[in-house]
Amino acid sequence: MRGLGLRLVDAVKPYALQIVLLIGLWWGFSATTPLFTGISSVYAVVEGFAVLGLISVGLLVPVLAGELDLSVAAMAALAGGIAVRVAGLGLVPALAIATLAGLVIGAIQGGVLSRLGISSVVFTIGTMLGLQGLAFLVSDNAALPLEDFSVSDPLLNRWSFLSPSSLVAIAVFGLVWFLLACTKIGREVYAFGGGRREAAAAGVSQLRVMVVAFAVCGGCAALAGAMASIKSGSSTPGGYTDLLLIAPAAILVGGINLDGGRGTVINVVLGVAIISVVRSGLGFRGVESYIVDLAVGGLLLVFVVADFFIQRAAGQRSRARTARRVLTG
Amino acid sequence: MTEGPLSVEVRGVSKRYGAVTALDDVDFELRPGEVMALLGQNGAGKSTLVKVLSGLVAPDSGTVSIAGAPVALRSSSRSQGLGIAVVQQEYSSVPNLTIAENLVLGQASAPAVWSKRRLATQAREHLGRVGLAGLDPLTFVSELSVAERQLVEIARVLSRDARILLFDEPTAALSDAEIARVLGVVRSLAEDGRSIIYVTHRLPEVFAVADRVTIFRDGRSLAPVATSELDVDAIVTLMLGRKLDVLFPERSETSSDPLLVVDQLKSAGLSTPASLVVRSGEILGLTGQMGSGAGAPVRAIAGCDPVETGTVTVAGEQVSLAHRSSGIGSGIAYCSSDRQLDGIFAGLTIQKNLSSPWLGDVSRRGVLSPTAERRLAQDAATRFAIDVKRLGSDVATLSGGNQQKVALGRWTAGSARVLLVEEPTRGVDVGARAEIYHRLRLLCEQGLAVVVASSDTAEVFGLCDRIGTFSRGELTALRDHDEWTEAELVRQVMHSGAAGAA
Amino acid sequence: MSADTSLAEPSARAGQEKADRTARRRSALLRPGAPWQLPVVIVLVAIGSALVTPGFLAADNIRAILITSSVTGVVAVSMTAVTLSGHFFSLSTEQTALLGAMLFAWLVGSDTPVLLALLVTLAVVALTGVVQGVVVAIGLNPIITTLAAGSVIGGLVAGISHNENIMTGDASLSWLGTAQPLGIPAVVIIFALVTILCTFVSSGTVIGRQTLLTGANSKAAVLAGVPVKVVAVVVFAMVATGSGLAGIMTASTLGYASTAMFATLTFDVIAAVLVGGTSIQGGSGSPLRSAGGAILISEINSLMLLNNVTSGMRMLVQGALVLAVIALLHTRRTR
Repeated sequence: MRGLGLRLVDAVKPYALQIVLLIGLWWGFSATTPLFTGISSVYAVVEGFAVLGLISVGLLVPVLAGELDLSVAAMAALAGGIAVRVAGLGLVPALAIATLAGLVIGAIQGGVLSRLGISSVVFTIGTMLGLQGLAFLVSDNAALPLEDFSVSDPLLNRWSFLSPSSLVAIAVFGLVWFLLACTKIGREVYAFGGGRREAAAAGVSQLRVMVVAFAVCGGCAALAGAMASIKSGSSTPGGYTDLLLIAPAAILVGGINLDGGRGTVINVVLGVAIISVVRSGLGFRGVESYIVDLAVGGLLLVFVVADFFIQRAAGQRSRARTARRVLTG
Repeated sequence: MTEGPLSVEVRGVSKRYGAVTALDDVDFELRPGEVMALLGQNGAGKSTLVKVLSGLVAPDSGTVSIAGAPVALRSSSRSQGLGIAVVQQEYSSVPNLTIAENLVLGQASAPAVWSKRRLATQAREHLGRVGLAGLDPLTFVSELSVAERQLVEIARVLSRDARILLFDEPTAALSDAEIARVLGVVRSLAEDGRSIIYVTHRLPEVFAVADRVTIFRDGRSLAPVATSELDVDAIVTLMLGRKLDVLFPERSETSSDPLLVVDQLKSAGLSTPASLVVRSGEILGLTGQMGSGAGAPVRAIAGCDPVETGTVTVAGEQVSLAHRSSGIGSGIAYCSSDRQLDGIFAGLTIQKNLSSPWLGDVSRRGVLSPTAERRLAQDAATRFAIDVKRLGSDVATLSGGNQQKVALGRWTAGSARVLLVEEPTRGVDVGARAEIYHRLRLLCEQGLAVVVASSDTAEVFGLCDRIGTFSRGELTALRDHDEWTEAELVRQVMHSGAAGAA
Repeated sequence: MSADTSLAEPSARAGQEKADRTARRRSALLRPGAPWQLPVVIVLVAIGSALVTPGFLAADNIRAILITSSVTGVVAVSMTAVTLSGHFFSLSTEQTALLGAMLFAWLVGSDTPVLLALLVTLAVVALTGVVQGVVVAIGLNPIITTLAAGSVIGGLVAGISHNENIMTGDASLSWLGTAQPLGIPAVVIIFALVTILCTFVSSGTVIGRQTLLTGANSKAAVLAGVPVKVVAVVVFAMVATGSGLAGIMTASTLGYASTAMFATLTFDVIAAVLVGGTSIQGGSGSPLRSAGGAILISEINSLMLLNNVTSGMRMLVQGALVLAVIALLHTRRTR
């Protein structure tokens, strides 16, 4: 019994800070904001997973490999346009086509990055511009409405605090978790991020890791954008720009380091939940969107600076430990 | 040892890197089930042979045969396919994965879905073979000690069915107990029928584990000798028999005042505080094996490594050891051991490289003076035999030797009083080496105090006026050049710190 | 890479060496990204566009191209130091420009003397840059830092202004939009002056050289005594000041400041620096190149606008151009 308890504590310890932050913020908002209580608040937060969560969990994979994809927002916008265009084929085919486009475009990005050896930060700024342009083209430079609004009906359901889109997102979270924890390619992503030289020496294929990482990222962003566009009834080619900040913010606040190699889907769940609480909490107070961005940006800065100092203190302690071990054996 | 075709047979292999000859018509052989030790000084060719056998480097000429059949080792995967595996100092384990995962990483035969339990069971079998049966295979590699990582690396290599194992200085950072463990594993692997090449600087280990010894000297190999027929003196003599090059300039007899005084200095790489005195016009050499701490005092004096205790004074004034820039301000010049990493600015001109530490001297109120900079660069260039007409070229287009001259030369401009250098001629061809030694001596004659930290005992012996040896982070001996013989120096560096009693 | 032995060899090898040198110089001239290529491309595009589109080389159009490149150009030129130092880019330029515009407009609208308003605004934006520089100097990723700082600044500005426009209410400032000393629009002159100033700082001052050294090899820079942390603070202060100046220029020209301004500035500026050829890894490039990049992009945009290309297509083309330039110029140095 005691052993089980200890194992539980060990499992929860890496996420302690995030859990405390999440509970603190939720309680804080519940106490000060009418309407943000009970099931409604849970629903609002979980709804946040449908777009932000999906994009963040997709972004997790390149980040774990030590890279970054700044084109996710543009990909979501493009996918939204594609989904609306082919909505005539039905809800599921439209989503499938849009997601496939995301997977393919992402895979190409990963392949080019691997072959050319360019910094992913810079390259994805370029692809972001390109995909943004494509998004406008696909949508005829305006918000393109659905021809037949009944296509989006299935997405408008709500069951207590869940909805079809958040369920899909949760399912994808599960899939990504499985990929990262249990498959060879997922572990290779971790290896690549944790020790690029060692992984290459061991025989891990850089090309395969990059293609898979960016394909998953593109596919998730595409699915998120497609679902959101159909649900809202029109595509927004210029939308999702705030996600450029919020998705990495969710990952960082969730406790994942941008150097790669460390972190799990749980981190993303917690990070997305925290950001979602802040966004919906502020939203319930009728605050404007730019204030929400300010809050998220501020939270991110404070968190990252504080985390840096904590890590440095921890790092110094473990370095001293290793040095002593090396000398005395 | 079993009879049959040789596991490895190398005939007439040569390899040149530009002007540097790494291997010169080398022969080498390895019998099945034997442990062959590879000895030789730095730059003698051991590492290059290892690279050739592991497929990383293609020889310019000669043949390599594995198990009696000639092969072309074009890539590391080809080499691995033939059963050759290298266990190196820089481990190939990814720290953020578990032991079990590392053992399987990168293998084409690994399944697409990994179950922790199955991997752990497989891992336990391999770990047992290296004496780590008690270790939980689901531990993260980052939590292991250096010795355990070394043994996991061996397990990884075994799990790929390696028949021929190359150990490249496997015990550099290990304690005596851990070394004994590794040696035990090596012996049992040989008894299992595997063939092992053991590259090392440590003579006690050679006597403990090797059947035969092949000695490398200046890129050439000597015929292998049974360990039983050798003793320490014999090995040292065989390693040193180089033809006398007029490589080193005359040493000087100095009796001038102490310029650099280091008192009870303790930093990360040192286990006990070290004290040294260097006079103006004198070259002090510090030498020892990898991890012995020979470079540690140099880095600490320069202000690169954090210092726990101790003081440093230059011409009587105490020097702040907090930052590199305060060291420069006190006239302490420092040239690191890896010029590609942090010694030269690739992509910038030679002139910009030469002036980089002395921007204050070539500017007035924050504005650079092109004439002053050019003059300073020309000054440094002439002092280190760099063509002054080439100052505008990109330093990355130079050969290794010339890049090293730039890396060193920039410290001779400006107001340096003490020059600290680590591995001054690493990867540098013979011609440039001679020039560098010559220039270092000239600098001394101009009044500088020079400290050279180098793992090349021949270099230290030929160049320096006083020599100190390091082992396990401790300064073990510090004597004038006349009180050393080269053999004694090599013996001190290789033999002390042995497994067991000294 | 050819390896030559000692450079102090006797004249017997001098002939061979001279041939090597000439060959090396020739290949250096022809490599992609060599400095002479940018002005040539600008001129070639101009000529090509004139052939395809009548009226491209008309004085009015050239003036328009230069004016639209001025705001982006001022920021791109001041951001080059960030890229040179190896810190990639600043993603907070559009919000900082907005801050500059709003603050300046408000101060002038409240009857503050123009010069004082200018100094105060520049000081405030410089301070936001210093804060970002300090965070990066501590060791945080510059992309994330500037992204977060940008949203904080943007949110603050929008919140304080309640999203309303702020009028400068000072007609005297609109001379910036209409004045043409020597026939050149005033904003273009400011662009040119800022370019000259930044280029001088970059190549002629100690801090400029320290920036270059930091970007070329930050570890070597530390060992050479360069204060890399100070460099980080300085370069981010520079880009913030440049962004603020761009905001002031816009507010003065138009007579008001609004949160809808500068919507695409961040990425326009990044595109200008990339197309100009300053290396992302740091240590190579100059503000002059970024000015050229801004002009080239403006030129291509003008060509597309005159040919009634839709905004989506224009974005696509710009993205494709940036990608092509990245693939050509910015691949990592292979070891």
